[in-house]
Amino acid sequence: MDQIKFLLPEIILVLLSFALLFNSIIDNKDKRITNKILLIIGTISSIILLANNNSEGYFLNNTFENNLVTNKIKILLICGTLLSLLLVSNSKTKEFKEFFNEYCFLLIISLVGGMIIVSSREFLTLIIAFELLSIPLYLITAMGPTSNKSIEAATKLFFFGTLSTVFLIFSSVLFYSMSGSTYFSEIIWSSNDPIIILSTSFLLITVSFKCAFYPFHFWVSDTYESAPMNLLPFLSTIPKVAILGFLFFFFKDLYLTIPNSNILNVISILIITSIGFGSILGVMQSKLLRLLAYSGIPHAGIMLICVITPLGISSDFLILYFAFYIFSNVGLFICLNSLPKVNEEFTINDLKGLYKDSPFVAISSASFLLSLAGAPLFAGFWGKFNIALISFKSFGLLFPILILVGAGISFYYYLKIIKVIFQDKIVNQTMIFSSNIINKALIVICLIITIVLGINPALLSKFL
Amino acid sequence: MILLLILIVPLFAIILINFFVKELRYIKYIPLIASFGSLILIIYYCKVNHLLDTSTYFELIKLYEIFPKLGISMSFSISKVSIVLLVLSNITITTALFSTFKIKKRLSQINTLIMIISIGIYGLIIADDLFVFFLFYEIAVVPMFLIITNWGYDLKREVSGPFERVLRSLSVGTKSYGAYKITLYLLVGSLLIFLGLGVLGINEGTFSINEIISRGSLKTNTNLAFFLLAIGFGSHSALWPLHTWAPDGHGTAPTAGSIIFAGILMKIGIIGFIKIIITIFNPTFIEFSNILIILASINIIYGAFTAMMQDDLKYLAAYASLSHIGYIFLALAMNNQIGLNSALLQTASHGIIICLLFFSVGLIFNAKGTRSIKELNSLHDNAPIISSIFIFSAFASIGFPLTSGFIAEFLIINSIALSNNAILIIIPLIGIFITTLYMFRTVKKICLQYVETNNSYSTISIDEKLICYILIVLIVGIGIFPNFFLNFINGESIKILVGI
Repeated sequence: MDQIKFLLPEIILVLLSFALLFNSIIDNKDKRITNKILLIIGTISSIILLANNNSEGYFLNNTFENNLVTNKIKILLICGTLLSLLLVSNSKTKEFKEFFNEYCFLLIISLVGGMIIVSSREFLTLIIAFELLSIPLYLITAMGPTSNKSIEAATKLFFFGTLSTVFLIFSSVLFYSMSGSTYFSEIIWSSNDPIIILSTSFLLITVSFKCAFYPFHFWVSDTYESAPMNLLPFLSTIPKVAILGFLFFFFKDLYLTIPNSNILNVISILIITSIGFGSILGVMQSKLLRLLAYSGIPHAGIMLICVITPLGISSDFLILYFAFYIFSNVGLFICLNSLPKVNEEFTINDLKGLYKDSPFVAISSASFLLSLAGAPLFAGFWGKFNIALISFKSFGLLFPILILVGAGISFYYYLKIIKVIFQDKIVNQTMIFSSNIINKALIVICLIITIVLGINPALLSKFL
Repeated sequence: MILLLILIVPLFAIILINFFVKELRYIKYIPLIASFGSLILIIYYCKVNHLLDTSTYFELIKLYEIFPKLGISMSFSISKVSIVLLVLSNITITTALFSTFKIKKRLSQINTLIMIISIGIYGLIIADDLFVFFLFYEIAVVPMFLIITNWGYDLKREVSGPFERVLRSLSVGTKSYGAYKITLYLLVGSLLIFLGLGVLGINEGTFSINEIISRGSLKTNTNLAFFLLAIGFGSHSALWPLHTWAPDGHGTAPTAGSIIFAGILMKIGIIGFIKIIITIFNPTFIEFSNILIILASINIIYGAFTAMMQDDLKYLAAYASLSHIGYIFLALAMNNQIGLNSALLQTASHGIIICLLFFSVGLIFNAKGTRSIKELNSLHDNAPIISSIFIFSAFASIGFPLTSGFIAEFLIINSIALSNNAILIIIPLIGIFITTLYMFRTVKKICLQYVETNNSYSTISIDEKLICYILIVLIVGIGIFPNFFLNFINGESIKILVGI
């Protein structure tokens, strides 16, 4: 029983999700306010539990591990989810007014899956956590505004999601056949057996599907375009961060003995294709959501570089990058959510006149875009260029050049959006941009974090 | 510590003109006031610390640690050289702000971008940490793209030759072509600079410039870092093989953009050379200075000859400034005290003169609607003030006696004569000769040639007159009293060369 304290934050979140579900049954007029209060109390209490760090160590037969880094990643995950749920609670669309509680329930379950992924040190729990993370997302994707297209997107996501789980199971079987154990710590990384390369590759295929690394990215654009806009802050950040956090611990033992150069080569190919082709894919897009979907690919590649860098400091930089990525991306999508979605073809040119209508949203979304591009005085600058520095320290000049070229290309397409934001309206454009007070408050929170981390990134390790 | 306020003053102006003020009048003058306030801050700082009386000065300000494990911290250092560069960039920023007065379209945004560039350039000059240097460098570079694509001009350039189809498909001569060319070059430059700084910092274990210099010698062989940084800074200052962004960028940019380019952004490379390459890599720099001499000589002569063939006044000024940048590098490569003094003097003098030159070209374009030398004539009869300013700036850029250019070029020739390869004197002499030729020809064609049909009289506003007169006074002032300037930096340049 005393091991329950290790899982207390997750348990609180699960209880919270059930409470929200029950709240929808009770016939109460002010349902939305009680929902918000419940949500804030539940998440904040689990954040406080995590921040106090009184539950470090292995537990439940060594299947899970809690340490400082997992706790930090979990706090970031909860913060991202809280922001995106508050955004949903605030939306004007009819579907989300009615189904808000169900939506919350699903997203929080998904979040718990992400948190367990970060902690798990064994294959069976990992597989279950992967499913816990993915299945709610299939359901919510189908709740999109245009029912036909959303169902198509959900089917696509479901199909590739299950396929990737199959790969994960296969990979775990191969690992088991080699070491006779399902624990990560039993894997012999330095062995010359080709099976280890095969099984690692299968694991990487699963990860690539979920995080959208380059050759396995094709579902992203369709899903982003057809999924409800409210889901995007969650969908674009939480699964990526959780799975890359897991990979960081999975590959931790890779360097204990002589590193297996074949495995490193496989990962390097994934990184090079993701940053290289991912950046180029973004250049050719004129639809806004597809562009943003593709622009996530190079980010994932950069995080993967940090994951495999064998330095003590790399966990700090990984968490910095996670924080920057979550807050900039969530902030950007909250900004976009305050725009009316005119049609399915949401092109970049539809943003014309945003500065005229709402200077606040325009300037803050420009800041988030600059942060994602890696412009100085925003958090993204430190995120990108520090990873370039430490990767130079351990791997030489290849990765820094890759990161910088990718940053250059991403400047091109992010600046393209910023240029349009500040242009004048087209004559016959009837869209009016507006955002209400809660959205503005959420944007301000994200903006403050992005800028403060940009001025002094060392503050992150102080507060987290 | 007070001097760090100059990084914050422009920020206030940005917030004011974007959120609180809507009237055009205030949007015009608030950035100017902020820029003037920065100048007063610099002067106040000099007065408090008695900079005029001491021979050298150094202050290190460490605000906070950013990544202690990598040795990165937010630290700044102020010396007399940085004060000179600060004043110069302040003058350039002020001129650029004056040149935006005629812009009606989204004035607050272009002023915001200029203010952001000014933050970047001030921080760059006083940064002590290599990574902080790179941070401010990026701040200064990124807004330029937006300035050109939004407020630039499309040129009508005739494309011909074997690569006609390729050039046409790249839409050569449009403002987006100029903007992308510049951004591409500067991004590649920043990539090289970042790699160089990273290699240097990681190898040394610290990113503080002051600490690396005070160690005396570098820990490891640093030819890689040296070449990365030298090529990066060189491409930024339009050193010969990497110069092609400069004319296209100047041609398509608005007047404010051109002024910032020539007055500041091309100086970033020189700041880098003075601040990092000469001080940290001194032995390596001396070893490879012959390469720099060759490239600088090509810059001087190639720039001058190409300027001779231009029809567009902006292209002419751009190539002229290429040629003048060559003098600075030549003086730096001599690696003696007069060389460094004269390089600093030429940096300041070229910065002010090129501001005036581009400003007067902008005035001509506003008055006549064209910049083509073929189409312009009888300027001295139609627009006597503009014409006088243009003639003055042309003479100053030749290096006419009593202007600052004369002193700078004289000292550069002097420093070459003192060095081992005195035969190189011939290169600046050829450069000056050709510059005289094309400037006189241009002045004769557009100002003095009288054609009767073209007789619309035009004059300039009081603001424009004011900034032109200030610049003229500065040019003549340095020309007549160069000792004030030279005494100010003399001790500092000895310190840089000795490497303490």
